[in-house]
Formats: sequence, structure tokens, C-alpha cells
Amino acid sequence: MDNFIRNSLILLVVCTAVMCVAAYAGYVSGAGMEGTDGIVEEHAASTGGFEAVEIVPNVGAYGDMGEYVGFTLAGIIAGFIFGYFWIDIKEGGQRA
Amino acid sequence: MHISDGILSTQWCIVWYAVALVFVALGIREIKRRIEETPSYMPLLALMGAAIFVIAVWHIPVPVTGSCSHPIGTPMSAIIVGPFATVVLSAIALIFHAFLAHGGITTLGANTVSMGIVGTFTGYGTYVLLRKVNLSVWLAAGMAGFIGDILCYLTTAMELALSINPGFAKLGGAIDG
Repeated sequence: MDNFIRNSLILLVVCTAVMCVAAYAGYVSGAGMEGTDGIVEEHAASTGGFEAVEIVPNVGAYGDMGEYVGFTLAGIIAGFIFGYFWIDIKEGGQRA
Repeated sequence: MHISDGILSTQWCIVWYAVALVFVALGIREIKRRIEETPSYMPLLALMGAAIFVIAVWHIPVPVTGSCSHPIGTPMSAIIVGPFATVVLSAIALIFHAFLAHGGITTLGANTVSMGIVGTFTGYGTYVLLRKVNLSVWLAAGMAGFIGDILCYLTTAMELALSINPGFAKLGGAIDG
């Protein structure tokens, strides 16, 4: 294991630990832990008299299954695209 | 930092789309040029696109404020694949974010400007500058991420202020009309 991989793994473990502790501290303190984006946006919307609308369907609104199906479809499409360009990428040649 | 549909006024949505499109066009040209030179650049782009997508929806709990927030990932991508290519990756990631209730389609331009353009170029500029004064890679990259994130959030705040502030709204109307 070289220095880069070792340091990356240490950093990964430290970051994960900090996030777990932070999440637990938030849970214990009873804070809402809402997303900052939402808080800022709600404040701006109420100040300016705007209201957020949902134009794009949210896959999360369909429950866990919506996310599974959404991510599976995205993975399949990405796989096809990547496979199509594989020869170009791997060999630097042109597809027949 | 994502702004949802309906939050920005129409004229400002158009303005931000116009700004974003210029950079996206330049980014596509840059990507085409680099792929012709080095085909292995493509999987690196895909990797960075995936990284931006995940990092920018990854809410990290901040117990001090009692809320969650996320970094943006575009400064890192800019350092690895270049700033103009990162703008394109950012726009693509933001389209997919819209399906996860992060951002929207009408605000895609505004979100691309804050995350994809300001976050990218300020982060990249910070990295280049700090490397020129012989700072180590990890410190320069860390500072690039920090500066890029902060300026991205400031840009989002400015976009919201421009849209909701009556004085700035008049300026927006002047641009639109």
C-alpha cells in the first residue's frame, strides 16, 4: 500500500467518523437537521413572494422503489453509452 | 447549492441560462478537442461526472447549525479534467439532481452558473495560484475546494437576491425588455 492510498483511507475513515458523530450529535440535540438549501430557499421564497413548484418528477416521491428503478435505468443507459464507446476508449481506434 | 423551480423570476432564469450556455458550448468544444487527442480522457470525465453528482447531493450533518449541507465537487473536477469540461459535467449532474428534488429545470442555468462556473473557476484559480507559490498539492486542492464552495454559495445568494430584491428586479426587467 503506497502513501497516497494509505492517507486516502485514513481521510475516508476520519471523514466518515466525523459525519457519524455530527449526525448523532444533531439527533441527540433534537435539531431538525434540515438541508441548508431548503432553509435558504424557503426564506428567499417567503421574502420575495415566490413558491417552489415541482416541474420535474421527483423519483424519491415514488418511495424506495422509485429510487431503485431510477438509478437502475440510469445505470443501464450509462452502461450502454460506455459500452458503445469502449473500443475508442480502450484502443483509441474508430468503431467499424 | 440548488435553487428549485419557481423561486427565480422568469427574466433571471433566462439571463442565467444565457450565461451558462456560453460556458457549456466552450466546454463541449474543449471536451471534443481533448477526446480526439486522448481517448482515455472520456472515462476520466465519466468518473468526475459521477463524483460531482454524488458529492453535490451528499448532505453532511452540521450539528453547530442544526442543519445539513453539501459540498459541490466542481473544484476537484476542474483540477483533474479542466474547468471548461467541468462546466458541462456540472450541467449534466444538475439535470439528474432535478430528479432527486435538488434544483430544477427552469433554474438549471442559475445552478450551473453558481456550481458549474463560479465554483469551478474560482476553485481552479485558487489551486493554480497556490501551486505557483509552491504550496503542496493537498493544501492547494483543499483551499480550492473551500474557496470554490464558499463562492458558489455566495453566488446562489446573489442569484436569489437579484430575483427577489425589487431594485434588482427592475434591472432584470430592463435586461429582459
